Amino acid sequence: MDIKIRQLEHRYMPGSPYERLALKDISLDISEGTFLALIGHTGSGKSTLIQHLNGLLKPSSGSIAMGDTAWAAGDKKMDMKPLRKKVGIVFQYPEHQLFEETVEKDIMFGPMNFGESETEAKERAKEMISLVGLPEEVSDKSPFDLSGGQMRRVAIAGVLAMKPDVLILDEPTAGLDPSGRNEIMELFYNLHHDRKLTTILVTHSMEDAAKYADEIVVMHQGKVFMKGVPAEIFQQEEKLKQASLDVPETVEFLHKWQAASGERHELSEFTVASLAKALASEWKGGVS
Amino acid sequence: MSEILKVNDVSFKYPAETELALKNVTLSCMKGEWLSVTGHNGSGKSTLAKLLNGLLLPDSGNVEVEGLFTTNMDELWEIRRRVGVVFQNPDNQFVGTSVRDDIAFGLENFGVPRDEMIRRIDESVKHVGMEQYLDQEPHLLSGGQKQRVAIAGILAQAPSIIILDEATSMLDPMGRKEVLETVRTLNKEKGITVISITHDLEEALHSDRVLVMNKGRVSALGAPSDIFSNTSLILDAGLDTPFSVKLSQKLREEGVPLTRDYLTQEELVKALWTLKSGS
Ligand SMILES: Nc1ncnc2c1ncn2[C@@H]1O[C@H](COP(=O)(O)OP(=O)(O)OP(=O)(O)O)[C@@H](O)[C@H]1O
Ligand SMILES: Nc1ncnc2c1ncn2[C@@H]1O[C@H](COP(=O)(O)OP(=O)(O)O)[C@@H](O)[C@H]1O
Ligand SMILES: [Mg+2]
Ligand SMILES: [Mg+2]
Repeated sequence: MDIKIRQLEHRYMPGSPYERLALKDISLDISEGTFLALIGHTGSGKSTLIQHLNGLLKPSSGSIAMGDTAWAAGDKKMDMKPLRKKVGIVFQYPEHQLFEETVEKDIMFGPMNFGESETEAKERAKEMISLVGLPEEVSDKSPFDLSGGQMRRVAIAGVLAMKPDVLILDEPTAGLDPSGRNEIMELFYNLHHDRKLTTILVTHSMEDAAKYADEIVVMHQGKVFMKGVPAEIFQQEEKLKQASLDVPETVEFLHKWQAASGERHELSEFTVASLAKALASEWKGGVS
Repeated sequence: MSEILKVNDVSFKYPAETELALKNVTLSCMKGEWLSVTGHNGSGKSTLAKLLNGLLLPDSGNVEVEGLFTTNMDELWEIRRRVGVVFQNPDNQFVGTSVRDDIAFGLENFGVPRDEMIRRIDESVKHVGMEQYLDQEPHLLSGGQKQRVAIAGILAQAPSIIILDEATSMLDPMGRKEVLETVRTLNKEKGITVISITHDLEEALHSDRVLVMNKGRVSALGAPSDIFSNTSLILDAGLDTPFSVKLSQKLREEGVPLTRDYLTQEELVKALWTLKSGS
C-alpha cells in the first residue's frame, strides 16, 4: 500500500507544562514496495512518526493515508484493527511487546487475534521461531525468562507471524549479536522482496541504511531534514553532521585514506567489497 | 596490577530450566582494567553479570570481589555496593521524580548519611557532566543523558567495579560515544575497573582484554588483537570480524600485497601508505 503523510504534526501532552512538539510539518510519500531507512539522532522523532502509521498515536494536525485507509487530526475514533492486521511494527523495546505466558502463545497471539485458526497460528509460530534463529525449546519458555537478544527475536517472530504488508522496524537489531544482526537483516530484506512488502527501517546503523534502503529519510528536530537515495545522502557529510549523524564506515575510511594519500574515490555502493575494489585500482595503475 | 575479581569454576542453572546457563566459568579481572565481554545471544553474559554482583548465586564454585564472597550472606550487601551494574534499557531504571531523588534513593538503600549523600550526588553528577539536570525528571532526558544519570547513580555508591550490560546498545552513535567517553574517564582517572558487555566490536577492540562467551562457557579471554585475528573462533561464537579486518582481507583478494589483517582503520591506512610510498 502507498503511504501518504501530509503536514503531520504531533504534540505530546498538549496543554501541560511538559507539552512537546515532537513532529513538525512532516509530508512524505512512500510508495508500495519501497525499502525506506529512517535515520536521525535520539529524540529526532523517528519512533513518534512510525507510531502514527498504525494509529497508535493520533496526529495533532495533518493527515495520513495508508492505502485506502485515511485519517486526519480531529477525526472521530476510527477502527484501526483492519489496518493493524496489515501493518506490523517491531517496537524499539521488545519487552514492551511481549506479554503471554509462553513464547509460542506470544507469537500465536497476533494471527489468532486477526482470525487465524489455532492450528494455523501454531504452525506459524513454529515456522517463525526457526526463521528468527531461536532454538525450538524456547517455545514453552516464558518470554521474560529469555536473554535480551532472544526476547527481541520473539518480538520479531510475533510480528512476522501476522504476515503484514507493511513492515515497520524500530531499531530491530539493537541487542542482537553480530551474526544474528546480519541474519535478521537478510531475513527482512528477503521477506521484503519475496512478499513484496513495504518496509520502514529505523536504524542507527549507517551501514544497514546504505546496504538495504532504496531511499533514506533523515529526521532532525522533528522535521524531515534530508531525503534521497543512499548515494545522495552519504555524499553530504557536512549536512549529516548538522543532524549529529555519521557516514558509513566505508566512507569514513575513504576520508582517512584521502587525508593520508591525497587519493580520491567515489563509491556507488557502500560495501567493503566495492571499497576494496576502488582502493585496489591504485595498485593496478588504474585511477592514481 | 592486582586481581580485583575472581570467578572460580562457577556453574549456574535457572531454577525452572534443565540446561545450565553457565558452565565451569573461571576468570579473573585486574584492578583498573577494561574488560569487554561478548558472545552470542543467550551465551550467558547477563547471567554472569548478575552473579558478579550477587543478584544470582552460583550453584557451584564461587565469586570473589576484593576478598569478599557473594556466597557469604553478610558480605553480599557490601559486594552490591562495590559492583554497580548499568542495564541496557534507559527507561526502566529510574524510580525518583528528579535526577537528584533518583540518585538519593539508591544511596538510602546503602545507608549513606544525609550530608555525605548530598556531597556524593553533587560529585557524581559533575563527573558525568549532568550537574545542570539535578531537578529534571529522568524520563524527559535523552537516552544518552539517562545512561549518564544511571552511571552517576552508581558512581555515588563509590563502587570499585562498574558493569555495563549493553548500556549503550539503545543509544544513537553520538550518545554511545558520550557514555563510553564518560566511563573511560572514570576508568582512567579514578581507576575504576570496567566490565562492559557489548556486541559492538569496535568498542571491544579498544579494551584491555576481551572475554568471549559461547553457550555458557568461556570460549576465549585475551588481548583484542589475539581474539579478533582468530577468525574461526569469532565466527564460531556468533560474532563478526571487525571492519578493518574484512577490508584487509578483501584488499588482498583484489591483489593489494598486504601481509596481514589490521584491526583498526588507523593501522590499515598506515599499512597501505607504507606499501604505497615503498612501491
Ligand atoms: N530468568 C531466567 N529464567 C530462565 N532462563 C533464563 C533467565 N534469564 C536468562 N535465561 C537463559 O539463560 C541463558 C543465558 O542468558 P543471558 O541473559 O545470560 O544471555 P546473554 O549472553 O546476556 O544474551 P544477550 O546477548 O541476548 O543479552 C539463555 O539461554 C536464557 O534463555
Ligand atoms: N511518551 C512521550 N511523552 C512525552 N514526550 C515524548 C514521549 N515520547 C517521545 N517524546 C519526545 O518526543 C520527541 C521525539 O521522540 P522520539 O520519537 O522517541 O524520537 P526518536 O525515536 O527519534 O529517538 C523527543 O523530544 C522525546 O523526548
Ligand atoms: Mg526511538
Ligand atoms: Mg544480556
